[in-house]
Amino acid sequence: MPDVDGIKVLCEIMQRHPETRVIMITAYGSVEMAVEAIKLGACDYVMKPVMFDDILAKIRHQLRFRELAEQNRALKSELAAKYSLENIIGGTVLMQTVFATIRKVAQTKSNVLIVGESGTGKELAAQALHSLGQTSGGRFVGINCGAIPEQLLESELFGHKKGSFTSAVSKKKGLFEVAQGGTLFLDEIGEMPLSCQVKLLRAIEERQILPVGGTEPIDFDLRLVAAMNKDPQDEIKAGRLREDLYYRLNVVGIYIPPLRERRADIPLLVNHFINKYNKQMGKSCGGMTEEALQVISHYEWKGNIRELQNVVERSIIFSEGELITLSDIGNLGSRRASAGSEMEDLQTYLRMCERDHLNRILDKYERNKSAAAKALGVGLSSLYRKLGELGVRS
Amino acid sequence: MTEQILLADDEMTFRENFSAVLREEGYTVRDVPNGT
Repeated sequence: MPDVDGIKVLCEIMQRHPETRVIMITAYGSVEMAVEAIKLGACDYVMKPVMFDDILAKIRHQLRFRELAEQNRALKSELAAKYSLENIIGGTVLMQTVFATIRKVAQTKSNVLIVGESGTGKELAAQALHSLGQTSGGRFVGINCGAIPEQLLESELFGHKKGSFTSAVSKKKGLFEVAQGGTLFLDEIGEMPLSCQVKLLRAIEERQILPVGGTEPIDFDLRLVAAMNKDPQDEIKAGRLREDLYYRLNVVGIYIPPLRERRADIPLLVNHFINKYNKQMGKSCGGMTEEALQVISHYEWKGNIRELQNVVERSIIFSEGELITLSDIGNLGSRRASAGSEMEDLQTYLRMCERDHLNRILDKYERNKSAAAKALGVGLSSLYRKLGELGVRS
Repeated sequence: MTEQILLADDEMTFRENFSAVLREEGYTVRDVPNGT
């Protein structure tokens, strides 16, 4: 082209609009020029004389590529939103502390050990750490260390070379390699065989892995998040967890409290799951009756949030009215927490009083929120917030 | 919105012919003789 050559135009486009797909067309082509154009950001290269059908096919291919890249970006941001902290429900001080720790640790690449009973949301916390942090550009890869046979676990984690054992018919990348630049989540680390714990410890110390049957170590750069559902100190005493590995993993420790230690979050969680299953099942459940909420709030929840989620899902399936009733939630009454603990839990008691009072005032004003807010002496937005917090049907 | 293509080429015949083909294919085309 006169005045300025195609390579200069390409550079300018890539600088100003790097997302543009550029196909270079030239009459004076050479292999070197084609390589240079591709290096500078062109996505394809055509030499004259041009077959129109050929270049049209290339254009369609590039537009399809751009569409897929856009879809990929949208899915990634959807995924990041799904696993953000906003999806972990908790208004209690205990959970706010957990959130603050996650936010702080996410900015580093330090190893993290998450301890919490089954069903408390350890994996969600690990995913939030990943999506909020420096490693969010890479993949989040999880493995349940207790679910893989001892013989396979080493190969799963570190990979293997072809022929390194009878069934190793081809080379396989380990999860450390797959998660490069991202997060590797080792769930139920306490269930990992001791022989594997030694190899894991060595890998963490040297920041290198050695595939089974391999001789060349591979460097890794990722964040390690481990989780366990038992007290680490008990596991160390019982000889099931190596103490040196515990210290390597527990650079930052996060304890996720069981649901019975944060009963004030139950109405929030119930609301969250009702909204979720309403959307999924196309239902329009408006909430839970006071009586049902009382029982839910005082149940012992040995299976924690997972169990609560299942109860809400089941209740929505069987609920025939606008609200979930005591009969919809099934036989939870027999496993209620002891009366003593109900009386001792001041926060729960105060919330019950607040809920009762709000319901009484709302009933008095025929559920008119503006009138109720005026009578209560609070603003309308404060009333709505309170209704949400307490799980009161508005 | 249709896809937009910028066609830059100093050869007028090629530019005109190829622009026509692209427009027929439904693209919005802007053709220019140089990169300035």
